[in-house]
Amino acid sequence: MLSCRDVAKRASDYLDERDSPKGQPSLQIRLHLMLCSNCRRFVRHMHSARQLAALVQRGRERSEQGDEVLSHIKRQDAAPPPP
Amino acid sequence: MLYYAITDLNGALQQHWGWAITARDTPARSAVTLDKKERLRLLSAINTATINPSTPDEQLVTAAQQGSEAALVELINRYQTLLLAVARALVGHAHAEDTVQEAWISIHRSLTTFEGRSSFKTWAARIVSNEAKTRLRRESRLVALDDSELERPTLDDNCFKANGHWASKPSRWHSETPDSLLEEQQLKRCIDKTLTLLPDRQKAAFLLRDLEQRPLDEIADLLAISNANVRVLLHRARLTLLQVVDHYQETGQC
Repeated sequence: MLSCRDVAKRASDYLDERDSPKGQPSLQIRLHLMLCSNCRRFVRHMHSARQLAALVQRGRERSEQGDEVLSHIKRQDAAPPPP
Repeated sequence: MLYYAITDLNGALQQHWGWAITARDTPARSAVTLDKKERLRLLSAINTATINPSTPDEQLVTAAQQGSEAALVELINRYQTLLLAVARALVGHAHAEDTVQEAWISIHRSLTTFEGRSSFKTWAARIVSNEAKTRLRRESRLVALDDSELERPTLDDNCFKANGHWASKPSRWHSETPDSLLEEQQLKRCIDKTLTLLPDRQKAAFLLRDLEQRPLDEIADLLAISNANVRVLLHRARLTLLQVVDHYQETGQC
């Protein structure tokens, strides 16, 4: 039987396995989570924290470097090929 | 504008954009056809009017393939942050900008061969990753993962009893859903700051997995590390984020 410390260590893997279309979290973790409300809360908190961070990151994802990079591309395209 | 050329263009526009130039847009009829360059210029100008942050990638790629600079600029603005994160994870901060700029030149040159078998961002991330790996090989620079990054961290030992069970329960949060947490501006700032401070590899793994939903094997390949190491990086990043929320829930501060 896994301890709560073991489950806390594997919480991130559990989330990936649970979310993956092919993945299946290990039976040991699922059994532990069925019986342990503290670990269920820990896993739930990790899931919420990563989703919150993804939402925050999405809000600042956009760059404004497009014109600068395009100028660089044009300069490279205009440059004569190396001898 | 020339009538027959526009009639000819309408088929393509309807296919790609769902609209076409109407009679009102065609001031004069002419039997003269446009040459290829002029068609591209015209199409590019038309596309510019329709490009905005919600334009789907597929439409942007099609427009960029047909020469629309506005579409290319939008793709760059959309994915520069992600591509920089991938480059930083491989070559570090000092070389990341140069690496991504070189990658955009490659992306631009090969855009006409992109057939959409994968998403544009996956394709672009792979080009950045290859560019970074080439640079590392050229400079004979090996960037090994710091050993401390490979250890799977756990919570403070004080959290657990000797038998491995919780010594004190994980604290109860005032609200748990991401949307309700997002409404707390101070917490949002705390998370924002934490994301900025995450080590490069953790940040890239987090963005590719939790934002872009890429499979672990693909992330491992992009970042040139093992699948097991990706999982450790994700665990570290998520644990850090969880502890930030936990601390905020207890103290109201970062």
